[in-house]
Amino acid sequence: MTPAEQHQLRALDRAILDLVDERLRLLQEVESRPPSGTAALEDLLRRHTGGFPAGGVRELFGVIDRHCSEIRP
Amino acid sequence: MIVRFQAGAAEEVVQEVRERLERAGLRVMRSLEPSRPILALAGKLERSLAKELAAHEAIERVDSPPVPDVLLVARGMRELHSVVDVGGVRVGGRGVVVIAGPCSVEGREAVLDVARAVRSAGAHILRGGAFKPRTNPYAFQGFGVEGLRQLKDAGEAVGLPVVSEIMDAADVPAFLEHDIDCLQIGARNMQNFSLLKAVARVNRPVLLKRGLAATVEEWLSAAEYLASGGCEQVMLCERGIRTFEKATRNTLDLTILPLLREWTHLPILVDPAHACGIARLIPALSRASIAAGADGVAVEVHLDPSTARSDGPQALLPGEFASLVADTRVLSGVLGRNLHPAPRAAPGRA
Repeated sequence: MTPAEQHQLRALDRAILDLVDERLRLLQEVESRPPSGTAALEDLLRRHTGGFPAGGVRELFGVIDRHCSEIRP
Repeated sequence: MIVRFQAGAAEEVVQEVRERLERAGLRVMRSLEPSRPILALAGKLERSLAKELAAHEAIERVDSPPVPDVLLVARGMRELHSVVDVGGVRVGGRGVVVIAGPCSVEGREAVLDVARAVRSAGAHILRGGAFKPRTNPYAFQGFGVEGLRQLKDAGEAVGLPVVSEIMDAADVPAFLEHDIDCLQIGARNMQNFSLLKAVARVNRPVLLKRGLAATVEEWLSAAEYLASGGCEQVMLCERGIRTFEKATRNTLDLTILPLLREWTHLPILVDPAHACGIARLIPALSRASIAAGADGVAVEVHLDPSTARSDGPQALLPGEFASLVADTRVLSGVLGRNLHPAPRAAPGRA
């Protein structure tokens, strides 16, 4: 991997983390509990055309959702 | 010139230098920067005195501002970019803000309907014109003071601070009486110097739009009028400039955004609606503005743009506006910033 490619990878990781943080911030702002994420996740998967496997997407969002719920006041 | 002292420089030394400069006929102004003393010098600094300052042990350096005699708003006058508090919404810094509302206040119910729509979509500040600078004298001129009242009432009802354009120095008391959180000086009045001086004196947040044919130097000089007149809460707003291109209403000059970041500490907003005049182009231009470093965008929203009394073709529908806010949040996150938190609603308001 070239240094430029490594740099791009780090930038993508940083963006993913920033977006996860921003998702948490939004949840912390809203006063009512958001609707269940299951339907939204299935909707997301139906539109998902990338190479990341569906099982992995479910797992990933499951972890994000769980941690956001734990941190949320 | 901008004289930057060492952090922790003794106050008596700063005062001594200040008096020395004033005796030399310079106008000396002090930065609001709390971390170290910074002085701005207006007038001609003699070479011998410049050398004396550069050699002074309490002085870190002496810089020329990017625009001659544009001092108080120059980047070098602050350690960090400044943040302006508009009724609890902090414009500048890490957060990105979205200002939205009707072009013109068109009546009590109409402005309240738009206020509710933009509030629920995620707007931070409600905009609305009560005094309208129209090209044609027969076009709708706005409801004047009654419009200010309706705008403020709508803002209070939904818990959003409000911004509205002031066109005449004689109207300053009306803006204060109706507690308008931010006074907008429009493109056509950017160089109305008596208006700038009158608005500066009341030290309210000011949104200073760029004139339609103004250079950055002229724009920053107008901001300097506000700052030197006592206004410590100035924000700039790029809204497109007049060019040879006729396909859009104006040409959005995003080129100057990163340059402005280097030249001034003031927060920078972008109004893509007036720049292009075409509603469907606004989402892309908003994203481009945030990507180029804007601290926020100002757009127009109407429940039925076809019946709007001004600028209907550039008004977004509430759903389109909600998508714009969502895009702004995602883009802000990717850029390492974040969408400003929603303002807290006043108790009992909805």
